[in-house]
Amino acid sequence: MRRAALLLCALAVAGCDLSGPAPVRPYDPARPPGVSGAMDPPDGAVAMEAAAPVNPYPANPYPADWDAAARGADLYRVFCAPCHGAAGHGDGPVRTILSVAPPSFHDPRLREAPDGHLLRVIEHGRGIMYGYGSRVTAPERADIVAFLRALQAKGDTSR
Amino acid sequence: MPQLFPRRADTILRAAVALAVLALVLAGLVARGVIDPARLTGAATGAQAAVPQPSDFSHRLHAGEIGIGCRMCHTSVAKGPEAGYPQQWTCASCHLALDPKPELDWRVAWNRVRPLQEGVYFHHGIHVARGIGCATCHGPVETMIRVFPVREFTMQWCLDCHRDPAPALGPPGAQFRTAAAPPPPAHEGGALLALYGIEPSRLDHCYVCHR
Amino acid sequence: MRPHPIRDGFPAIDTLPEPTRRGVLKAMGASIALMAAGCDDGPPAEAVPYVRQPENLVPGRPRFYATATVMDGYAQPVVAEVHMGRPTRLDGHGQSAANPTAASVFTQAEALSLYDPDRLPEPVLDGEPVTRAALDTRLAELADTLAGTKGAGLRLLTGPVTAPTTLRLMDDLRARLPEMRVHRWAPLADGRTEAAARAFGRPLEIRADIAAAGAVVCVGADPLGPGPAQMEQAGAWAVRRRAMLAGERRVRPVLVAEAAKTLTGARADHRLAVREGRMPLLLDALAELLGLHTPDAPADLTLIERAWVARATEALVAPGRPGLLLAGERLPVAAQARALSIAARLGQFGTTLRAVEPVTPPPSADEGLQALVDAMAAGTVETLVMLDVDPVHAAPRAWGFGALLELVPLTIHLGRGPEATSLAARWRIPTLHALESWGDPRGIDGTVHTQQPTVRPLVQGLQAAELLAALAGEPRPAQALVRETWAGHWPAERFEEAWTAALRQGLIPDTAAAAVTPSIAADLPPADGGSAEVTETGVVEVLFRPDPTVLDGRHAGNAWLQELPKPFTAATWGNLVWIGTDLAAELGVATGEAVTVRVGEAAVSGPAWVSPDQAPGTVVLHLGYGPPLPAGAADAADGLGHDAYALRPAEAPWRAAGTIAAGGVADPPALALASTAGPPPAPLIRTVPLVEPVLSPEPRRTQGPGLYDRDGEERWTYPVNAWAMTIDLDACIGCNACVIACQAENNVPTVGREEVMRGRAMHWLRVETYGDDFLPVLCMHCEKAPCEVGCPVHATVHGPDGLNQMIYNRCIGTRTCAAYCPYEVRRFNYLDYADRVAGEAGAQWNPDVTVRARGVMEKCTFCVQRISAARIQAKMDGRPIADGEIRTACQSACPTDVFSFGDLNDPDSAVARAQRLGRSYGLLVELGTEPRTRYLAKVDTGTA
Repeated sequence: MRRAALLLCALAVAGCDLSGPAPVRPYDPARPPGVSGAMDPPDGAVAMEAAAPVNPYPANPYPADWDAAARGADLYRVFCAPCHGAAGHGDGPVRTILSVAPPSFHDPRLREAPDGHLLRVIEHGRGIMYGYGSRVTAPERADIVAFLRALQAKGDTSR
Repeated sequence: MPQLFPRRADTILRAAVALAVLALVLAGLVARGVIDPARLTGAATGAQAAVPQPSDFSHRLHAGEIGIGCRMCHTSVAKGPEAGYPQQWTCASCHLALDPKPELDWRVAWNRVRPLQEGVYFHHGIHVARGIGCATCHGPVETMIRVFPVREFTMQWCLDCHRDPAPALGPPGAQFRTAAAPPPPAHEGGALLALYGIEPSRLDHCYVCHR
Repeated sequence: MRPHPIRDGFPAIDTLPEPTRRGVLKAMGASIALMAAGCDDGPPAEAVPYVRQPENLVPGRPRFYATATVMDGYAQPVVAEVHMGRPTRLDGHGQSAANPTAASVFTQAEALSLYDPDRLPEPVLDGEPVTRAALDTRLAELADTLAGTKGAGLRLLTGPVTAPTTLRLMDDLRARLPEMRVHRWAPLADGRTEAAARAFGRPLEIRADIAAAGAVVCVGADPLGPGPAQMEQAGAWAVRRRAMLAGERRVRPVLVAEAAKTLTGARADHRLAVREGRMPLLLDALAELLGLHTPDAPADLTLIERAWVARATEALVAPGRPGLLLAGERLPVAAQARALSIAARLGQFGTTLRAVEPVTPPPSADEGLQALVDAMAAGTVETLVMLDVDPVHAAPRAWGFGALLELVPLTIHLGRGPEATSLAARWRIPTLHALESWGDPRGIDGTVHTQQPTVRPLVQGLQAAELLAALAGEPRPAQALVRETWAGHWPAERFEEAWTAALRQGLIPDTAAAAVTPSIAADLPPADGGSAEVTETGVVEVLFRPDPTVLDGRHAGNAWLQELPKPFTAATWGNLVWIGTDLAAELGVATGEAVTVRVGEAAVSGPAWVSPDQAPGTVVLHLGYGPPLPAGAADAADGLGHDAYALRPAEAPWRAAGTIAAGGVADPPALALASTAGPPPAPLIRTVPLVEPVLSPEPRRTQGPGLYDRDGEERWTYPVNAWAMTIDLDACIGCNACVIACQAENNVPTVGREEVMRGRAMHWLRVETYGDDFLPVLCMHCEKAPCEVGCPVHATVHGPDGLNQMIYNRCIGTRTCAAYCPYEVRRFNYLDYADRVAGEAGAQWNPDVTVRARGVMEKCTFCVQRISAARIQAKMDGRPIADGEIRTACQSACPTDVFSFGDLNDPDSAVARAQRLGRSYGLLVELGTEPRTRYLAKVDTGTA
């Protein structure tokens, strides 16, 4: 009888213990001793990866027959068009809350600017524009510039 | 007079009472909201399952009306396991576009809509690389003021797709479409399976998702 | 009467109180409430992103930083794996020639000590915690005072230092404060540089090239044992061994004369167990046979010793490759000097030995600890600054350093925090961990390795360099100090680029120490009478050795190292007293029983470990345990082991005369594995002769019907990959680097002393020792796995890529799989081990590996997280997985490249080729499990 009761107790005491301590996963909030899932690296530390990763693009999501300008078009649409406009005139939907208008890429100043200038501005920003270096990698920045050149070549077809 | 009840009737009665008590207690807990069966099984969907957030950020405004693409904020969705959450810098790019740039020193603690259970590992990059669009799993996020899950995100739901991926696959280049964008040209799911080299029979063993 | 299964198996059951109806209902109610509470939403539901995300960061994928940890002053270059800004693991970076990612257990364990909860979180001055700003103010005031008195009464006590920045700042401080004195001391300081000075007229550091050597003769030396050069020397040894097995098929012998078992001795072809006091005699006899020395009287050697010396002589002068003679760094300086001279005369310098400029400046006579102690006793020390040393624990007790500290008005200790010296100092300043520091320590070959932080400091602390700069009155952050040191090394316009390149690769090129051709004197240096052999009856030679996992006590707070089974003894959480069979018979003690060792006035008691290979009349004590902490001070190492420092005399730090007696009060040892001083039950470790390294064919299953009914039919098929592993037993030296690597990578919890004694240590990979043979054992991922048949809920199943999968979510803890597994590689979480260590190890945990709760079985998974990551990346890139792209954690850490891991479906892969070798075999194949983890037999090259 005692053993039966003990067995019943054992069954009853089984709790569903799905969770327990877990490692710090990406974006987890801070916990002792001062670690979290998004910690700033120390100033001046240099990671080991090469400046350009060996394979800049996975086989997908870009089809093999897309060239740099085609990939750049897709990236431009996401990262640049909200401020700079779908056709690069500086008239994107975010323009209304900006204190300074984004320049048009068809402007002669930007037509003549070297690729390096465009790359630097994308990475580090300029004026009120924030840098996009952590959002688009170096090969992606090159693709965006390729698209901008294609855009400029097509010409200022509106206004 | 012969016994009406066999000896074990006592035990049966006691067990039945114990189970009844257990059932009553559980029902009470469910009624009081302490245990939510839907959340337990992870199957709650729809707008009522929207998770409150510390900020009034609206996907309907940013992704829908303004038309900012998903990857502006969820930048690593095609590159790695995590889609990523936006850094303050990204929000400031539009909302604090000043020269010189102000000091950003606060972090927003977002509430996850569907935290993945311990022991389950999901890799966004490989799914995106197979042409699966954001909207396929996350639904029309650009119509949501506050994000809620539109799929159950249960193991059964994951397995259903893993065992028959053809309907969810997409051709390369088309997976960043939102639900509202025109659908890609009709494709043969089987052809895509061959293109990507997917073998559904190798997609449902335990180590694909659990470690 | 038949034994009752429950009552007789669990006699305590009768003592449990009779459950009343009320009690049962209460328990049920409580458990339901617990159940409701336990069914929470799981992992943290909040996501807190970056303010500004670093460039090139893909969340969920780690980044790697080249940096260095420091051991005895020498840099140990590492690659730190950092997940979202949090370092989790360390790999080596180029020390071992056989495996560039190899790292020793000490280096790897630094990943855990970074998050040690016992670290002092903020400076404590005069018992009051203060902020970093307040500390800076106080240091500025102190600097002013010191500048005024030109440093009169200021003494600096430091350990070994090689970093040019720290040395520069010390020189700077010396120049500003001419009255200051610097004292350098380490508990493990040896006489190597002094010996070179005696042999060649100037201090030099000697480096051995084991790979190039023909015969290797070690007299009291242990190149494969713990030390800053362990990875390099083990790698060279492996290269040498493989060359011997592959092409030459001629034995390149290793001869070792040692007093107690060492890792090098375990792999020796001819080993001599000899008392350490007699080793100078061996060297003399060697010199005599080589014709370099004519003794006054014939050496008094036994026949066995003579035979060994003859063999060694023959090996050293054999034609072909030059030999290598190494004398232990703890032998008397005179003996070491003679060995160096003999080696020089044999032409070893320039071939197998190399003399280089000293990487660490040797202390001169007035810069030792003795001088400091004298000054403290005389009352001339006003301010004592101690940089990361622990003299209260480790200095000779006779000097009474603890009491002398009280005579000094201002004592400042920069250290981890819980050391005995820190607790006794007036100002306690936390030091930064190697992974939080900027520095430029020099490696064993002199190359400057750049040390960069992988995480922002977790404590409000200072680096030693920063403290020195503050004392000089010019406080600057460490990054600026290191950059200053190297600003002149490159032209100004190239500096940033060159500095970034140096940080990226982890070293500054072309900074190795310059080679020196030593000048050979006419005669051998004299053997001074000095530390003579102990010959009285009843008196034994007591040897003091650094503990194999805790060293001199610096790692006593590191749970991984405390729980790591020490080589040969498999002891954990405590140290043992090693005695030979002669003493065991004389005293009538067996392994585990208490003995008391007495040197002079002091005595310690500890559990004995009886070794059949120990020299007669020799007792070995291991340092590092039992610090004299003040009452109430808590430390992870509290109450463990015995304090060998209490016996260590000042004049003879490595060998003393003492007595030993049975009895005493000592905790029983916590042995992780059964004591296996003898050979294994055959045929676990198989050997083959060198001339024909082919094993006899393996037996088929011989033990009755198996769990899989039809032999040969119903086999698993692997359409894509078939992962497998081969373990080369001939290369394993027993260093245990693989065990720590697995623990770090897979979030394996430590369980503590009591649980280890119950046999519940959780190491997925264990290295079993049988006499001198090491056998790493991990999950065999059997083709016909008994565990897969036994699990009632399919928590362990066979995967389509060869792995035996372990699914924690499904496991209900019946432990049938562990009962069925003949290799005992399955570990069960009897208690909430992970929860217990979450406070100290939780921050180190690898986010790609699930942390197991109580009631769940776990085992080696072939690092499935790495396999998955590589498989997914290869799919995304549209290419197949290359051979060698996936390296398991154990494989990454092993200095001798024991592990081969890869795809058996690829006939050219390293593992497929290894498994086709003639010396490949499986463990316990006669049980019919068909293990896919196979072993390569040891090659027999001599007699021990």
